[in-house]
Amino acid sequence: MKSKNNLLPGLGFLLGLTLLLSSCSGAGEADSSSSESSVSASTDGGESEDSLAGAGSSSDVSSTDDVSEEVDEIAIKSTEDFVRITLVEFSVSNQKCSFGDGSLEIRAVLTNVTDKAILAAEVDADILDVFGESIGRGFNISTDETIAPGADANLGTWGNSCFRLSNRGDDRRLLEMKDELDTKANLVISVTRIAFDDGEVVQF
Amino acid sequence: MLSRSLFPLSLTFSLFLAGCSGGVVEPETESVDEAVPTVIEVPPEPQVDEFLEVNLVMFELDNEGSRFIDGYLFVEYEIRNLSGKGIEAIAATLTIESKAGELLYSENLNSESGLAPGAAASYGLYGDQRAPLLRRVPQWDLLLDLEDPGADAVVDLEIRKLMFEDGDLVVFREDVPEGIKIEVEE
Repeated sequence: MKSKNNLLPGLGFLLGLTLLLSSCSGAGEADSSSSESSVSASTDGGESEDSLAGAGSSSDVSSTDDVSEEVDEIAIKSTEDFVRITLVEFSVSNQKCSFGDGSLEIRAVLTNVTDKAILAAEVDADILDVFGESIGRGFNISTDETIAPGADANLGTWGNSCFRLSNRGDDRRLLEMKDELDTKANLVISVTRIAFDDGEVVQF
Repeated sequence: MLSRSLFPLSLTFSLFLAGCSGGVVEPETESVDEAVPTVIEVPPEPQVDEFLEVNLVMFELDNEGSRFIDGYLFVEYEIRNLSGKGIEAIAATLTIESKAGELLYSENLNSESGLAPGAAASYGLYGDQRAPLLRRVPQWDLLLDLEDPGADAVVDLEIRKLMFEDGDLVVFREDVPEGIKIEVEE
């Protein structure tokens, strides 16, 4: 969700640039440098330029008159191109967590699907109610464990860790829906940044 | 909606002007006369009171607080389901404003407590669901200083959305209010 939102202004810019190129040089006549610059412009601050460079060739951008198709054809990389996240546990219980009134468990596994080691991944977990509105605060399930290519890392409440819930407000809502969590709440896990061992940082 | 409702008025006004112009009828007026506007039925927007009866039961402040809390806010509503269907969830926002219009408290109070047709239930900040207040938050400081909350402030529970057991969703307000910006004084 976040990555799409972040990329929308870039897509808008790309659309505008493509139209400009079509009108200036005729359909299908953009050179490769203009293609690369438009793709780079769709990244955030150029941090993920490497990951996106070359994602769309010059022919991708301007080979057809239909602008909407042109945009669709550009392969914009998403989190799935870097990591795979598998949810293992999402539950609420009245078990004590520290001094709280209950406990929230969010356990997931992050798999590095790239050929570079990941030094850290910033990952947020949001719980949404039936209206799609956030229930309380977001939960940080980031990792700074080095993850080799193809390897896994644990995210969230593994071992003795847990998210403490109090008996009021949104925490209480979660505690009350503990037996119906699957139907009354949605867990949304978002990767916001990944840092690689070669210094590249990809932001979504 | 407004432009639609004003259209007959502008037509009438044009006709009135034509009548005042000494019998000289502009060709454009005739064309307006011939162009019968298409009437589009706009479904009425849903109103909360068609579905719920909402009554304020209690609005009080406890200025004594406890060891780490400067005070507590109690706001209790009674909500009755007037619809013929069971309600599964309610999205609502509670706000308290001073008489001067300053926002003193805001909290989104969504609830998944079901409400059968015709049934009533308490809703809000009451009992152990009271809201703890800290004087370090300037807005809450003002709130805690209210001598007579009922007279000095306006409390409102805005019902934004209803989810029914059959899956129907009624939206009175689409966006989620950001609420009060908590600025804690150092």
